[in-house]
Formats: sequence, C-alpha cells, structure tokens
Amino acid sequence: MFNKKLLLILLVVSLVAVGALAQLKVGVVFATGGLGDRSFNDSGFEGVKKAEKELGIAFDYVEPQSVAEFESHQRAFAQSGKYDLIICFGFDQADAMKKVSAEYPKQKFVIIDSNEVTADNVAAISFKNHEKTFLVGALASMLTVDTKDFKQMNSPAKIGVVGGMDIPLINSLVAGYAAGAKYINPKADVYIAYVGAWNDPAKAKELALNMYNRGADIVYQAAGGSGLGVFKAAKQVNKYAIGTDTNQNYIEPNNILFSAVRRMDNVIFDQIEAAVKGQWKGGIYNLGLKEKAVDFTVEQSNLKISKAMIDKVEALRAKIIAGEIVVPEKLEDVDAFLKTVKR
Amino acid sequence: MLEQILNSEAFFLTMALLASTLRMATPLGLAAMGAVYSERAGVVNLGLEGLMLVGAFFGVLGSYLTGNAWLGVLLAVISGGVLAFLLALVTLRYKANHVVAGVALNLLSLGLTSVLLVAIWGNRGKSADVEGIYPVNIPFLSDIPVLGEIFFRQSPFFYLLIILMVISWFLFYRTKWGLRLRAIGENPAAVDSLGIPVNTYKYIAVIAGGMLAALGGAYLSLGELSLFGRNMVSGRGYIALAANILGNWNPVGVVLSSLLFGFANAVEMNLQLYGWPTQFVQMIPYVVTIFVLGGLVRKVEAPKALGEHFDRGDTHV
Repeated sequence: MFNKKLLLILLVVSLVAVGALAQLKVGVVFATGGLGDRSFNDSGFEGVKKAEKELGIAFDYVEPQSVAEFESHQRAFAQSGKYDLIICFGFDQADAMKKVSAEYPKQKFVIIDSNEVTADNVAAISFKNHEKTFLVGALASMLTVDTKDFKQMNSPAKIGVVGGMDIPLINSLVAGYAAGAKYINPKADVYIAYVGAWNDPAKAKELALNMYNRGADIVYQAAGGSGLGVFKAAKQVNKYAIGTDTNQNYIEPNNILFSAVRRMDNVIFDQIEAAVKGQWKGGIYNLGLKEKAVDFTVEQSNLKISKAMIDKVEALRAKIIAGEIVVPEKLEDVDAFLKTVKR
Repeated sequence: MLEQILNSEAFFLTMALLASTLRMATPLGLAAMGAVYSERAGVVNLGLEGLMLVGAFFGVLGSYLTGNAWLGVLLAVISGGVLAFLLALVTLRYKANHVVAGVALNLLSLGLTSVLLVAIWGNRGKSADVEGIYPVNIPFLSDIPVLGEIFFRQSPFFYLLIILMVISWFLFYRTKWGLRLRAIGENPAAVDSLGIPVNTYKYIAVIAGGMLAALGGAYLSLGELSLFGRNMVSGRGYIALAANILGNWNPVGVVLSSLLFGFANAVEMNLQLYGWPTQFVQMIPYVVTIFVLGGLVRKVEAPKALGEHFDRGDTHV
C-alpha cells in the first residue's frame, strides 16, 4: 500500500520534472527604469530574448514603476509556482528579495547588481567593473601619444574621468581607469572629478571643459545621465570622450572613442542556460572579463584605432583573465598596485 | 611684465574660472529674477525647478520642430507662462497653500517632461540633438583684453540676463506698476482699498516670473547642451530661490547673488581637479548659502504678505 503511494508520488514528480525540462519558464522583474532605457534593462532583456531563441525558454516580465512594487511582483511570480527562475534587476530589489526568497526556499532567484542577498536559492551577481575600466584607461593612455592617427592629441598622457558621485561603485571604475592609464605610463596624469548628481549634464560638461582646458585629451564619463554633458564638451572643443555601461559611441561618433560596457546580455543568458542544463547554483557571483560580463567596444564609433593598439589591450585582457594582473578596486590601492605589478 | 602675466597658466586658469562662473550663474540669475516677480506680488514660488524643467524641455522641442533655436526659446517662454498661470490659478483663485502648489508643480513638470521625452524621442534619458544657441562675440567689445574675453564672448542668454535685470529694476523702482506690485506684496488690503485690481497684478507677475524661470531652463538645454536630459535642472530651481532671498527680492541683487553661487560652483569644480577631497569641496556652494542666509552679510527682508491669501474687500493682511 505504502509503496504504491510512494510510486504514485514519484511518478507525478517525475512527470512534472519532465514537463519543466521541456520548457523552462523565467519571470523577470525589471528595474524602475524599465524597458526602453537603452541601458541596464534593455541589455539584460537581450539576454532573455537570446535564451528564448536559442534555448526555447518561455518568459513573462513586469516593469515596476517604484521600489515599493518590487516585493509584490517578486511574490506574485514565486507564489504562482510556474517559474523556474525569477530574475530581478537592480540593487534596490535586494531588500524585497531577502524576504521573498526566505518565504519560498524552493524558488530560484537571480538578482543583478547586488551581493547582499546570501541564500542558497539566490544567485546574487555583481560586476568587476574595474577590470573593464583598466583596459579603457590603458587604451586611453596609449592613444594620447598616438598623434599620428589622432590629430587632436596634444600632450603626453593627460586624461580625465568625470564620475557621478564619490561612492564606492563609481570609485572602483575610477580606480581601474587610473590604474590602467598608469600601468601603461607611470607619468600619466589622471584628472578626477565628481558631478555630485546623476542628472546634471550642464555641470558635467563644465567639469569636462575644465579638464580639456588643462590639457586632457580624453575624458571618460561614469556619471549616468550627467555624462551627456561630457560628450557635448568633447564635441565643443573637438577632443575625445569614452562612454559607459552600454555602447554610447553612437551619441557622438566623431568624438567618442569607445565605451566601457557591461554585458548584461551574456550574464542573463548564462544564468538561464545554467538553469536549463540543471547546473544552476545559488551564491554570490562577482563577474569580470573572464566571464565576459564586462568589456569595451569600439563599434559605431567613426574613430579608427590601430590594430597594434587593440592587440596590446587584448594582451592586457589575457593577463587579467590569467590572474597575472589583479586590478585594484579602490583609489588608495592604485599606488601600491603600480609598485608591485610586473610589466 | 604684463605680457608675462597675460601668458601665464595661472592667468589662463583664472579666466577659465570666471567664464565658468558666468555660465553657472546665468540660469540661476534668470530663474531667481522670475522668483522676484512672483514673490514681490506675494506668491511664494517653490515651483521654479519645475518651471525651469518645462522651459528646458519645450525649448528643445521648439527647436526640434522648427529647426530654429530662437523659436524654441519662444516656446519655452510660453510653456513657462502657461504653467505659471496654473500656479497662479490654484494659489490665487482656489487658495491652495503656495508651498504645496509649488511642489506639486515640480512633480507635474518632471512627470510631463519624462513622458513626452519617451513619446517624442522614444528614449528615457535624452532627446535628439537640436539646433542650440551658441556664444556670441560682441563686435569691438569682445576685443578688449581680459574684460572682453570674460564678459563679451558669452551666451546670448547672459546678455539677456543683464538687459532683463536693467528693465526689471526700472520697472520695479521707477514705474507706477512696480510701486503697486511691491505694495501688493507688503499690504494687498491697502492697495485694494485704492481700487487697484490686486489679483490682476498678481496673475501678471506670477506668469512673468514663470516665463523668466523657463528662460533659465532653456539656457541649460539650448544654451549649454543642445539637448534635453531627463530631470536636467538638477536642483537649480531651489538654489535660484535661495539666490532670490539672498538678493533681497531685488533684480540687481539676485544677479549678484547668482554670480556668487556661480563662483562658488566654479571654485568647487576647479578645486576638485587639484585633488581636494570631493566631499569637502562639494560642500562649498552650500556653506556659502548657509552663511549668507544666516545673516552673516546683512539682514534680508521678505515681502510682508508673502504666501498669504487675499480676497477683495479684506481689510487686514
């Protein structure tokens, strides 16, 4: 009798499991910026769509309008029990996820841009952004002396970076950038300034003009919406800029050399693929060049960078992936890094 | 000797600092001037931020649609007037609390411009690039060494600010209209008893103030960037309100106080490049505000009936 019951249960469970294997279902809770932001959400959505095409998954998504809505959306997905994986965008979903993931311990969750949620059923993903900015800083440092290809370069290795706010996330970008520039040329000057806001392009432009006035040839923007002002400054004085987070080269293709990007699409796709293959595991993930989670791109820029330069940068990429170069994450560690690193 | 100074790097950087000051001060000055109009008539204008934002947006939209940046400025000014009319309507006719109405106006503007941004350009962050308004060198004057470089190679908005300052000062202190308006801000009942239509004056002043604030916003979008970025005014409306108080509700005073804020901003940006700690340096403009508003320089005096409601026939203030 008992055995029959057990057999029945096993049968049902295996049927359900087979059904799930046939088509994995993903629920996506976007960040408040929502689709159409040409950034964070859109590039992550690319990964979901790629998984739909290549792995045959199905998905549903919601676009919350405010932080207060995250919890109810997460719970609704989890409660339905229909979703194999619930993917949530943005660090501000962490608080809600701590609660909901504890309520549904069997439900698999992914959170992007947070390393705060530690639970077996949560994959918390953050990025080694300083690795991509190291490459970008190194390339910028090389280009300032390449007066043959770039007529506007006028001085030996003077570059700048305009950050949004003086916070650890942005400082890790700045640290990588400075370390990369000085790794190539220890005498490189790196101007650093912060706007103090994510939505003040006029001030960012003024900061960038200041840097160009002092002889900087290239300014990297890590200032969100304020960064548009950096591009305008570059255009006005006919100098160069670097984009951030997504490919921004199209905005001023004659002045933006390249963009340091986060490959949200790769990261999301990898998570879904792992779930499909049954290899998905919760935990804290800090992803970098090695996982192809961060990168830089020259596509859509009208400025042509010589292959020799790109090759040099690719050699640096290989060294970082191999662990020969460990890029510093904090500004105060840059000097120590330069002293110890082998060139 | 002189040659040496004029060619030195320190001199070059000082010039850049001063030019930067004027650029930062221009939008503040225009918006603060707008506050003078509205507050002299007794209406608190906390909606400056929203009025500037709407001006910034419709300036770009006008330029985008017509290909002419000055028509964009015209549309900006009209949109600021319309929105300010709304503020006047709810505060004067429906007796809403001025502060609440101003905050509501800011929220409305942010929502409206964000939605239209997506609807028109399909982008949440920025508009398309449009024809902007670029700095103009004034013939002869711009050739004067030093002074010419600082004052006469500026954005047309800066020249507009100076012209509007002179006109406004004349209007407020040398015409009957200005005398009456100032009296309304102090004691509307007294003005009313003379048979002067108090509310008509108030409506006109608030709408004119909205137009000026929108002009300040249009400077940010058309004069600086040739595009609109989401929520790009970034708190300047509130600083302009402080500049208005510091400038003692006086058209000349607000331009001077805006220059002070602009200078504090320019210094902040320059010190950052010398490696001063960011948190400390970014404090400077605000510390200046607190010290000045704290009465360190002089006592400021607000119009006495500021923020109060008035009905025809009221005998008290």
